[in-house]
Amino acid sequence: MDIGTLSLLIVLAMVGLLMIGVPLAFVSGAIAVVLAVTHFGAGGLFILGSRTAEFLGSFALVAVPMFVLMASIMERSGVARDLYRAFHVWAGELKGGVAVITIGVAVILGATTGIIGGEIVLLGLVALPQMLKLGYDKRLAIGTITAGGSLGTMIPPSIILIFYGITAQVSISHLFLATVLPGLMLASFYVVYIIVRCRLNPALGPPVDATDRDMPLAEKLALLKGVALPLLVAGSVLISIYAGFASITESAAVGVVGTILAAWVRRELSFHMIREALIQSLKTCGMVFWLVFGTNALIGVYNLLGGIAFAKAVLAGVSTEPTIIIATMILVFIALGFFLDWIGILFLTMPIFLPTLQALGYDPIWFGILFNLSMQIAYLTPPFGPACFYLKGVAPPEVTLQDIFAAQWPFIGLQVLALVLVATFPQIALWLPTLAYG
Amino acid sequence: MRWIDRLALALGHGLAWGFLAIAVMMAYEVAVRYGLNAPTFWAHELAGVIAAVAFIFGGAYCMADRSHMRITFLADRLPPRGRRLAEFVSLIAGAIYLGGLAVAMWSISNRTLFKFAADGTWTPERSGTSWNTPAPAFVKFALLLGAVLFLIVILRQLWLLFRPSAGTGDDVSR
Repeated sequence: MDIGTLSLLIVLAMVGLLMIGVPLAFVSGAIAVVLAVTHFGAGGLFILGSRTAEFLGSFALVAVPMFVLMASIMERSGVARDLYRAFHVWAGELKGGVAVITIGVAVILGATTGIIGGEIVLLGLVALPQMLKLGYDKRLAIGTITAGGSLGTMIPPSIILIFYGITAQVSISHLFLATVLPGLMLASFYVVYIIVRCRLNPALGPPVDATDRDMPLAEKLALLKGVALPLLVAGSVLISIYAGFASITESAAVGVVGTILAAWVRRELSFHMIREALIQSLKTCGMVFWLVFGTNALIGVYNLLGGIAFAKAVLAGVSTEPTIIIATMILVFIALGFFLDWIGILFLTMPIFLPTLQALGYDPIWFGILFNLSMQIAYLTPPFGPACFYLKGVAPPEVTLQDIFAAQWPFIGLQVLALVLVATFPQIALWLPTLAYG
Repeated sequence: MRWIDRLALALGHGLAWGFLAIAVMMAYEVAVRYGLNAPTFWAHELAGVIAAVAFIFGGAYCMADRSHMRITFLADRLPPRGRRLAEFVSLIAGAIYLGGLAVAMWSISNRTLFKFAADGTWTPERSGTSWNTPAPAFVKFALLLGAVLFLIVILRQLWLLFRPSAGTGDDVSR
């Protein structure tokens, strides 16, 4: 069988198995085993094992459970609730003000976590009932939370960028710096969109209650005191990474210890809380890493079969114009995002895309940010939009999954705009790292 | 056979504490490096092994916990028999993958951990750092054990699927 036919069969088998609900780790892993045994005999399995073991040897991976742990301790303390409360009293008479504040809180929470999920659940529990109670337009409120909560991987730290950095062999701290401006730009798009919509139709986003508005300044400031320490911890972790005081893993680990201390000072620390946070982290790592093992094994076998060379040739055949090739890659990310998780997309496409990218002379840091932005879209797009499912899990019963999906489109539009801007003007991503590291 | 799920879950719960140990170890490393100008020789290597082992057994944990990521929107709409068939295909795919990985890791472990010189001295693959532990060989062996445990958890769920009382397949539809 020639590699073209084989590639088509692999894609068809993957789509078919995924659609009936086979876990992605099993889909890619099983196809890898079948391909290895049918083409190279039992000895072909060696590539599966050696690639998995080699991947596990990468020390940068240790940062992943550290960031996840930091986030899950933060989630279990009342920091998000207090943060939201401390900020929403500043919304004043602004129409749509609470939604704007929600985006602001999402950005701050994003700086404490590197994953999505927890953040969306928190905002869904804290901000959604508040907005619905004030009489906000349901779709505007929902979209604010799913889109805002997804910023968790766009604002550093970001688990996506850690895995991208390992795969592309580029500096993770450069990536963390490069994503700052695009992330803030995307957040500001959301803010402008909310304000414009509510200016045009004030019924969409009524202002907060008078009691919150008329709160004396001293009281408003007092609310900030409770959240100062956790924010200080999150800020120090980022500074330590950017300034190079300690490696990313070390900084994240110190962040974990700092977060535990902050929870202790806030009198929220308990054995139960730490235990639950640890188990949550193990679960997240089990899911994510086995997905990597499976897809990584498949790519290894596919490469031996000459598949990567074939896929690169197909990609090169799309056009001789480099911009069209980049656009094609982004479209592939978005298309796969409809039914794959980011980690699957990363490990399936990067072995093919990165060599092509380098041959064309593009900056892999910039490309990482384009990937990160594409995954923002993947989080929201149905039928597999993780952000929507996270919110559905905690939303009040009158909010259906249809409501949630319908609410995403304007926000997806804004994400596409941000993606196009960063693709057209790479400086949005590259300016800060160039400034800091030369 | 419920003990196998319990074992996978208990191992996960235990290894989760390893993450806390890593955090403390790394914080200690940073403290002594900056405070006493005396970096440890062991913290990074140990942290790497603990994390790898936790990632490995996290697979079996998620299987016993039924929390591996999957797309359920179509499978949920299937009639009970279709759902059972989909579940069957999932578990078979899992068994193929983990079976293949276990075979691979068996031969790799033989070459890296169970390696002896002609005079019988143990010569495992070592890390090559100043501490020079057999960490890489241990991680590969852990991957073998983790894959086997994962496989057994899958086989148990296959068996549950065919138990006469398994009727609707409800306990697998997460």
